Amino acid sequence: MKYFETLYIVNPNFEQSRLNTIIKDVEKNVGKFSNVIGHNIWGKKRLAYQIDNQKYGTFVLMNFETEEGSGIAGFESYMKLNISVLRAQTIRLKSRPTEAVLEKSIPLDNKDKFQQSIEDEGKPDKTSEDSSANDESAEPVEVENMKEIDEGEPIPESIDTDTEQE
Amino acid sequence: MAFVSKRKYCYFKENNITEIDYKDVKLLRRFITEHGKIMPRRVTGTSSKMHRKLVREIKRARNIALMPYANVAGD
Repeated sequence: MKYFETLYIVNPNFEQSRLNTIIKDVEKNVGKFSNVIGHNIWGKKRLAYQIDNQKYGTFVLMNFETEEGSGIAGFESYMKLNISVLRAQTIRLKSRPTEAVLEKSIPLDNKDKFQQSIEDEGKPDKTSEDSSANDESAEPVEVENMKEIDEGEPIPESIDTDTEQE
Repeated sequence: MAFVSKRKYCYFKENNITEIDYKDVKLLRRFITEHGKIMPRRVTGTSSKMHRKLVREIKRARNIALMPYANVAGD
């Protein structure tokens, strides 16, 4: 069995419901040739550099397993042509992803719970639909997982120079 | 005055790290300059084997916009 992980960036201005549909579409495409192990939404995060004039992006991590890697090329081209996805990167894993990674992700068996949680989160956002149209005014959506991952800013400020100085 | 050089060591060997993940930006950030360039291993002291892995993971992180290709002053 071959294990893969795909990290992709979705347009940050999309609402939760639209993000949900994009994730569903990606899942459907991957499901043609593999089993999806888990989906992990990191949340909104500042990009290290602008992509399509976007400073922020919604990061989504997906793990899947397949017997044959023949469908990967088709999937990668699908992600590239998908306008909603700013960027995607698929990596081959040496072994099944660790439990720490999978714990944070949402298993597919609890898909209904996953849907409900997204819908619940999406409800208060309905009031801020107008504000989400502008890039600058759109505030980052807070996701619990995100806080654990994003401890510091992606752009380095200080670098340990202990080893450099002699 | 005698010049005493600080002994260089492989960070990964000291901390028993065998695999590097491109998502671990906090770790990778130790091995790039303030301009975003990858430090040479003569500076960091990283072993040849781990430096090859490190370079691969930094480039993966750059591709997915977790790390910068270049930090130009003023940006």
